[in-house]
Amino acid sequence: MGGTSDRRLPSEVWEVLAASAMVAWRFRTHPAAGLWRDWVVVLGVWWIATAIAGRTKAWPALLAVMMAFLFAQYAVLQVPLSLAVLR
Amino acid sequence: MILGSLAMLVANAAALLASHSLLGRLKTGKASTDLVLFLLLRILLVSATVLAAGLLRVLTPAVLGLAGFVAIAGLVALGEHRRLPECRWPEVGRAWIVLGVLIALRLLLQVWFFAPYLGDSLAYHLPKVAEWVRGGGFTGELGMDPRATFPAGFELLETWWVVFLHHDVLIEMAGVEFFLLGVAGVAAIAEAVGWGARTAAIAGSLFALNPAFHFQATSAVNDGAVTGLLLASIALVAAGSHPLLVLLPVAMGAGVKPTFLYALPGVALIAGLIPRSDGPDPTSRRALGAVAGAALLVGSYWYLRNWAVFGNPIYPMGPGGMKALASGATMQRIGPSLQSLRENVSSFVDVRIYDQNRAPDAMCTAGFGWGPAGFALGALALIPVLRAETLIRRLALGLALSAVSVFTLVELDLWNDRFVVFLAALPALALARLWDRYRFVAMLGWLALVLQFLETMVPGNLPPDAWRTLMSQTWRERSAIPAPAGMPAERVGFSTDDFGLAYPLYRPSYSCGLVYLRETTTDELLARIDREALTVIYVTPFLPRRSALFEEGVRRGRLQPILQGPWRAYVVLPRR
Repeated sequence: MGGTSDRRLPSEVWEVLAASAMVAWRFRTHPAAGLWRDWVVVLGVWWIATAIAGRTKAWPALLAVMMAFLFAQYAVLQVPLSLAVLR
Repeated sequence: MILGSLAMLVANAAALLASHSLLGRLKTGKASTDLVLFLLLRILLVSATVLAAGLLRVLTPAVLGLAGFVAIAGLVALGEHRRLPECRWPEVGRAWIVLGVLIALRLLLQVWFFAPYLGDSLAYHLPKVAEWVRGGGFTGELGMDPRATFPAGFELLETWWVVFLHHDVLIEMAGVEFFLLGVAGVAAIAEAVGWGARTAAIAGSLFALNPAFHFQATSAVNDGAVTGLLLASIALVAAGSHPLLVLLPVAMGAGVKPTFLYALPGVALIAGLIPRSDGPDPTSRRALGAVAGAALLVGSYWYLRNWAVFGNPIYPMGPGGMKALASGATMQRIGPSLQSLRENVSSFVDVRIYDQNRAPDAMCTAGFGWGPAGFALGALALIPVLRAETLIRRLALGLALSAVSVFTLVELDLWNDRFVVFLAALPALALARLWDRYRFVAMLGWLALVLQFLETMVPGNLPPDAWRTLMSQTWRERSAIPAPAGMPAERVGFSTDDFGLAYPLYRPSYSCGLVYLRETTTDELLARIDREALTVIYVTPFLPRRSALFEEGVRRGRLQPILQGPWRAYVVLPRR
């Protein structure tokens, strides 16, 4: 093998590790039952998905699903509070 | 009122023309950055004018109107009016222009309709404004709230908007000035990182409808001003502006509220990470030095005053911070605390980002108030944008450091996320970046904006009673907590040990004067009451130190306690 080979890990690997650490922290500090809707976990999972599949055709669809999921969560929890003020 | 309105128009026209004239000497060459600079120059000129007029005791509509007239005449003689830009709509798409116009019109309606309603404003921000307007200058009387000596840079703008009419109907316009600055700051950051005008307009619009920031514009609290000035600082740094230009928002921010200084490490980091080689220097060094010096004076005045008067630039804060009289709990701390950082971060990510406890308001009560566009869309958009764009990564690092710094320096309470509203600029920028790239992003984004437009109609912390009260009042009498119906028209006494809502007693037209009773013995108190010929003394419900004085006055047959709605008072009885 001639020349120098780049032995550094790809940045995606570091990103997945960082995001996994974020998710693991939430699992360690919070009851698992509620973590499916934990904003930090959702963001961590989304980061992992983006690092792994950011260039695939499925990624935009995944983005749409994730955005809709968080939007629905926000709307269910928060919008009634705001509507109550307007009444 | 007509002459006052005329003076207000003339003085504002002068401030706008003079700001534009100065801008001509300080231009950076980037349209969005120059808009930020223009807004900053206007705020600086208005602040400096009120400060100077206050110190010289000529804070009157006549003097300010006349000064404005002379300034306009001078500027027109110099041909400055010929250099005004042509008005034309930005090429960002009709929908965004319509949204901008809608937001602007509704803001004006909110300014017109809302009266100051938050406890902090009524207790210590606004009584000093009332004293200045009534006294035609800085009288030395700031009110009895222990926080009255905090920096009052924002109150200078509030004074500007009430002094001409001798009425507080337009007082929220001060917040609107800083709201515009924040929105322009976000748009300028977008352009500084190389994005187009449309993306910048989308980012600005998204941030404009951030519920917390939006309500801060019309709630007469200074946190929106801090957010606006911080984003303006970052916009100038990101655009590679001259350091003395960056000093404008930094110095003025320090003069508005020390929480601005808490966030400065992040701005310094951004300055270190983003090289300023591509930023053109202003054409006039003299103008640059003059405005930087003026900003420094305006910003540092409050600290110098406290130093001179109390021997402590951050009076009444001492080494132990500031404690609540009622509970003894630390309300404001001095210096960093890892425990505060841990508690604040935990509260932020575990509870507040969900906005699920209350409808949004200016104080970020138990929430972050960032709306679905931030929570659901912008946060997710941030991941791909951060991965792809180096400059945004650097900005995000700086903003994160600012937030960490603020969280380390403030005690956890129900409202302190209002100090980190600037963080919401990041998801706004990221969502704007993806807006035109994916159709579903724009669809969800518009849905979020419609929701946020509705969310930002009425603040969640406006008491239902206050809402009904405001609805039933004419603009002349509009007050969220009206003064008691039977209150004397011209002068009343007021006393408190801690926090007390003194401002409503001045009435919206500042027609009633307040005599603050600081006496420490009953004899002194009664002597002062007789000397001032007071007939009623209003006191706060919680009066642990002075209540004994008043009760002794009752025992001596000189005072009679009464309740007038939410107001607690003592009627002065004649000497027997």
